[in-house]
Amino acid sequence: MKLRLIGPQKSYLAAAILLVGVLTSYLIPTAQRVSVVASSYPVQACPHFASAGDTTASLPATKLGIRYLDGKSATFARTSRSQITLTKSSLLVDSNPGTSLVFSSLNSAGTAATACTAGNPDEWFIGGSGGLTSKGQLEIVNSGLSESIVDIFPFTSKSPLAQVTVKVKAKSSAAISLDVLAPGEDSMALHVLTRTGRVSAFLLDQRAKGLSNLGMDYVKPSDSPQKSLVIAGIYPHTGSKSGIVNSLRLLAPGSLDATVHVQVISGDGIFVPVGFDALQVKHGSVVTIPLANLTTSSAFGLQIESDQPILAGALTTNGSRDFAWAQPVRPLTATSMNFSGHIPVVTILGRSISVRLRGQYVTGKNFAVTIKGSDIATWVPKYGVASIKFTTDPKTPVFAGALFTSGGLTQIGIAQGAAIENTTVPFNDVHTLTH
Amino acid sequence: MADKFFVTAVLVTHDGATWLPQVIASLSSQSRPIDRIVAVDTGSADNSLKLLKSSGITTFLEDREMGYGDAIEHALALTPAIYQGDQPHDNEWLWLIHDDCAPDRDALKLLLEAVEERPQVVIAGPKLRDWYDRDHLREVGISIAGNGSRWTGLEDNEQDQGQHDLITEVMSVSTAGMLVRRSVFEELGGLDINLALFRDDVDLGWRARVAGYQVICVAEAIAFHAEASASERRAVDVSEAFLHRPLLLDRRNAAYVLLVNSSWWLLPWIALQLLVTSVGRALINLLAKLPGYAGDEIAAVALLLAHPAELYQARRARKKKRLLSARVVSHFIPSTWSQLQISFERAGSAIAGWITPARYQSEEPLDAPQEGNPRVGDNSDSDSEEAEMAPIEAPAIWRSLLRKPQFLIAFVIALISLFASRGRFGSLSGGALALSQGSGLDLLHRYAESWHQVGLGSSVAMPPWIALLGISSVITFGNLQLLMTLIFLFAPAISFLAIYRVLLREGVLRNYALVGAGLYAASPLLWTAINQGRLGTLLVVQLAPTLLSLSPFSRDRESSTWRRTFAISLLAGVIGAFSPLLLMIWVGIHFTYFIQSLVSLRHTAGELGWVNFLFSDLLDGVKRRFTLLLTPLLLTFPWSASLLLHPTQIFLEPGIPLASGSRIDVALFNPGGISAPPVWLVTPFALFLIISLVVERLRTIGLRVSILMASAMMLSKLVISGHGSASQVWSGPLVAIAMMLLLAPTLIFAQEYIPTLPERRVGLRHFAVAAVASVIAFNLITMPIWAVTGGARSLVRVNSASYLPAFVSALEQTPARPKTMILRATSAETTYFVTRGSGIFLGDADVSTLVPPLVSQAMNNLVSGDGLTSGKLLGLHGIQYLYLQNPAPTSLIRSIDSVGGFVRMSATSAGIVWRIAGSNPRVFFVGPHSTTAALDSLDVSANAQVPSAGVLQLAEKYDRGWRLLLDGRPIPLERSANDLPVFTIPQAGQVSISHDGTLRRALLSIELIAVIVTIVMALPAGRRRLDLAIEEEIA
Repeated sequence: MKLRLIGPQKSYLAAAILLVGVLTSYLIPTAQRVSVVASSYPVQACPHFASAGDTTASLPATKLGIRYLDGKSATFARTSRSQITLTKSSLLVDSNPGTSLVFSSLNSAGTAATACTAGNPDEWFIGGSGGLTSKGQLEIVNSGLSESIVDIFPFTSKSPLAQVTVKVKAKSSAAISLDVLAPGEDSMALHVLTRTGRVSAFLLDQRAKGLSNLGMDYVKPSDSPQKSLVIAGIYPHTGSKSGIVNSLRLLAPGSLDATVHVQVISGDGIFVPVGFDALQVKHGSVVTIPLANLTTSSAFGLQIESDQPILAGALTTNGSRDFAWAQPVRPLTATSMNFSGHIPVVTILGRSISVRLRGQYVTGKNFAVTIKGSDIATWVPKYGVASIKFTTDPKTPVFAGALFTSGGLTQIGIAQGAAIENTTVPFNDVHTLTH
Repeated sequence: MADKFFVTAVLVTHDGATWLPQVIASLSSQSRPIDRIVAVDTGSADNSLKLLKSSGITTFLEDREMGYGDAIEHALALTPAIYQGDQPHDNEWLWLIHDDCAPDRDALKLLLEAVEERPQVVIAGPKLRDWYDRDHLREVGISIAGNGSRWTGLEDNEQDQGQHDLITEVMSVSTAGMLVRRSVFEELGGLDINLALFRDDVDLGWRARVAGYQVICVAEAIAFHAEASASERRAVDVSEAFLHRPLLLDRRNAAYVLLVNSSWWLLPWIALQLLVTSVGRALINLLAKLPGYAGDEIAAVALLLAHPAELYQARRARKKKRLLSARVVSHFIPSTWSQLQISFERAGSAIAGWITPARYQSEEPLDAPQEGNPRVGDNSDSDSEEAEMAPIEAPAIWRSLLRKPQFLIAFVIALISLFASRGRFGSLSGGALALSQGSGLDLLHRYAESWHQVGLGSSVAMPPWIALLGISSVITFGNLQLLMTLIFLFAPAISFLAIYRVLLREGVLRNYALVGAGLYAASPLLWTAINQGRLGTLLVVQLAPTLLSLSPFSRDRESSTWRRTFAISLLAGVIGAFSPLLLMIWVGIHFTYFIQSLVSLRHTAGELGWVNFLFSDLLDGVKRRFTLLLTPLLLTFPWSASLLLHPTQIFLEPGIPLASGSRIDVALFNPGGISAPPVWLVTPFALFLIISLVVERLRTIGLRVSILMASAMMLSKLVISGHGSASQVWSGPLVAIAMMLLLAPTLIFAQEYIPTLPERRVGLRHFAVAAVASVIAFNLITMPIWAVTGGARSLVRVNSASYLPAFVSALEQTPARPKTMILRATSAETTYFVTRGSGIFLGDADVSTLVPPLVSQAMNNLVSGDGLTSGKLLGLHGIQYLYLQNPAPTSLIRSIDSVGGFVRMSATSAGIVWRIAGSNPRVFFVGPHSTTAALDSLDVSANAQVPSAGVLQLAEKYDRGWRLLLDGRPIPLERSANDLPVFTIPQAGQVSISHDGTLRRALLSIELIAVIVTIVMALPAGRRRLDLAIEEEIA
């Protein structure tokens, strides 16, 4: 028997076929390829300055892969420890989502702390000194297996200086004295531009007068210049008896002068110090302005707005005993740290603050607190903190910093040491030659 | 005898009874009587002799194998010259008459009058007209072309309208009716007895001219000639006629005439022309399925060359009687240009006739009188006489073409295309179109290669469209880039003409056909194909209408002629070469029909027995169906076989894969994609589909188109890997076929339906028709505007800037033949491809294959920052440089910098280059104690001296075709752990590395044989002269 369609049956069948075609087309996968995204955290480098005294790397977890920069092997070895003492060379920590910290202490004559970083080809250091008392250094760590080339552009209070180019061999580091880069300059900044290679740069600001140390701290790297900056966690000048003196260092690296508006966010309220409403910053010159009359009852933060992209750093000195550098931080994202038993003063800035802290004291006791508030909130743990994890709602950005006081002054911005890097799996594709 | 002449007519007969009575009658009825008639009969087997005797003509009997010249000589020997006193009569003339040539009543009179006024003339001949078609001009004097052709200077089938009625000097005249002064004839030695038949007349004229005499054709004197021997109406029995083949004798004699009469310094050139022409004619005859004639052409030259002494003696004899240079006849010999001109004119007429067959040129019935164009013979119009008397205008071809609307519109479309293509004059590339090679020969060379230098190498069969394109470049004298430009430039106009012709053939009225063809030429599909560089679709759009108009899937095909079957198969093969999807649809449909036919005949087979069944006529239809099924596959072999083995490749169009648009785009007959027309440029084909589903008699078409469109929508979302990438399937060919299927039935329905509308009450139908008409008008207006504005910014561009750094391109010719890995990373994807210094050329993408897994893994590791061994692995495969195009993620740059083995060489705004430390050259030798040496290499092969025993490694993808000869001895091929071809060399010596293309050549031979056989079978069979003669007689 032969199937023969008559009259409108053909139309119905045709419509049905079209419908099936459309429906089937929706069921067919539309992806160009099975595009696999490989996510990983880059390797973090923890600096070692010989002049910085005892240096310990605090890892956010145990069982992380580590290797020393000058090690023969190019592979990472798992470690069961979270505190690694650095004696000879910088340490490389294999990819992990946490932030490793480095604490340095120089015979009770100063402490310094910074986060280990994966490095950035374009980094700024707003801080340091090339003056007579300077013992500071810039260390360039090449964690890659190829030679790297780095250009350094020093800025001073007068004008930018000639660039210095440094070649760093694979798996090694190079240290350059700040007084070589900016001789005689107390007010300096550095722009470190990596031409080739996987490089992390660190700046240790260390000062001494004769045989007496005047303190030290790491100048934390800043991202590219921006019009809005937040520095979270600055030591307070609580009154006339306080030895704490703060100052603000600014640089407008562009081609135009900047008009800067600085707002103090403290537990005492939000206000603009006298003279900081429309501060004129000449482009290309580093400006350091004392915050002499600024008195607050507790740790505070600064909100800096500018009509031109700028960079900033806050310097806190405690007489001639020690000093600390605080740099602008990125908004807080989930991260974990190891405070190595220190008792930090955690300062959080934001319109609506709700940050969850979970961790473990050095006593072994776990803790979990949620810091809430508006504009500014501080938290001081009861005991020394071993590990701590910060989580927050990314929709309401907050900025956090931690102040350390034992043995001297030092500050770190709380931010992820390394951002996750996504790489799509590469495909052999002829379009590579045609696009 | 009123004049001073004495005329002796010499009639030679040979089986000429058919014409002889009329010939004798014409001789006896001459207005100027012939003074003496003698006849020579060369052994006629019919009643010629009886007829001669009964007419009272003195007849001499000669041998049957005697030639014409010999017969005349014998007749004259027996017919003494006339004397005036004791002196020979100085005005005795011979009138040579063939038995198939009847002079008109006044022929002799007019000839004599002409020679009387011209004492220097020694030979005169009448105008020859055809015996059967009495208005058909045969000759007004003759000459010979440099290639041996008999040259009359007349057009094919030229009718005698008095246009040649002058007395003109000619090189020679035919011996049929030739009047020649006897004294001179004898002085010249008569007709050359080496020319028993054919061309003796040209030879005599040439000799007369170099002896200082003149030859004329008296056009008012007429003779009717049947050319019985040349047209094979009677057998050629002369002894010189090898195998009694007239063509062979004619060609041999033509060559003889040229070689014995020409100046000596021209002989090499003439010999070359004769040789080339003979081979050319032989090939044409072979194609026309006339192998006998082909053999005649070759044998004629061979026969002549077999007797060089004959030529030598003939030249010596002529030299004695030559007063003038042989070049005095040069102005009678047609130039090569004249011959070419006539060939071009004939070809032009044939093409014009093909585009507009006479019966399709008017939508009016042919028997209806046209206004202002009275029928011949219609005397009712008082102006007809004036019209006949008016001078006949001979307009230029282009002017007459422009007067026809289809050509005018095609011209306008071409202008629009020209304007839209203002950025596309030159070397085109972009989108799916790769760069063009320098010449078509390069393309053919690539087609024949067994190993392609693409990426890390490939032995995949090059698709046949490459060969077709290479051969087609003959049109542009091998300039491939020009050919591509022309294809893209004229695609809309050619598509318009192609579909217009088909629509007329389908019965669409002219005006409707013009609109339909306009819609087709303005279709988004066509312009998308142009803008995206989709060569395959572009040619499908131009060629497929003709194929579909031949109803290739109809049951009638099983009863059509073999020639038609092969012609359809050939066209299907060509289209299939450009669209594997259509090729497989074709194969699928015919395979289904083939199986159906076999199944339906299974009972008959059982009754007849299988052996009888196989040889019975019942299978004729099945055989034809099988031919339709198999031939396109053979024409595209071995590529078609690879399609069957890798079915997903069916969905890949020629060139670089490029994504199509959304399913909505496809549903609207606009396959979409980058630089495609926007969807709001609505094409009415979707409406046509709806109409076809609504109108009852169009529903079958509607159903078929629905299946096609549903398939197109489904396929357009399918992602296929191949051709060096992965992309959505391009469903353009299916949309094209859907458009073609819809157009004619819908237009026929419209032309029948629209005239009935005025008789109906205004209603929904009127609005529906108005809506469709509005969409059509909108499409026809907006599409050209878009094409010349937004559409001009296409993916296909001229001289696209190379994305490769100059140093990479320069590496191509270095002895080490290093490769460069090009890496491109965006936020969406990271891709790479290996280049050997050049970009992607036509065919490269089609043969491109995946890189070996080890290389792929090395790239994965490199990009993810874990590539400690990536550099080493890439280096083993001969990749010497890594080039990362900018913009690139910083993290990736840092990863590559950090993994080691990659030494940064430069960084520019275009990209970053790393040298891969320790990379191998293409041919690499590892000797004892791990000593290494780089050996020089050519593109594919290499020849070098190896200093000792060791291992030779080739940085190419492993393939079983790699061969190495050590001092001529083959060394076994091995596969290294790194997936590379290696050879263990036992001792020092000369090595020769190559890729064995024997299999490829063997497979291509099968294809070539299939192509030749199909073309020969598809071409119209040449008709034998005898067949033509019979047709003339019937007419």
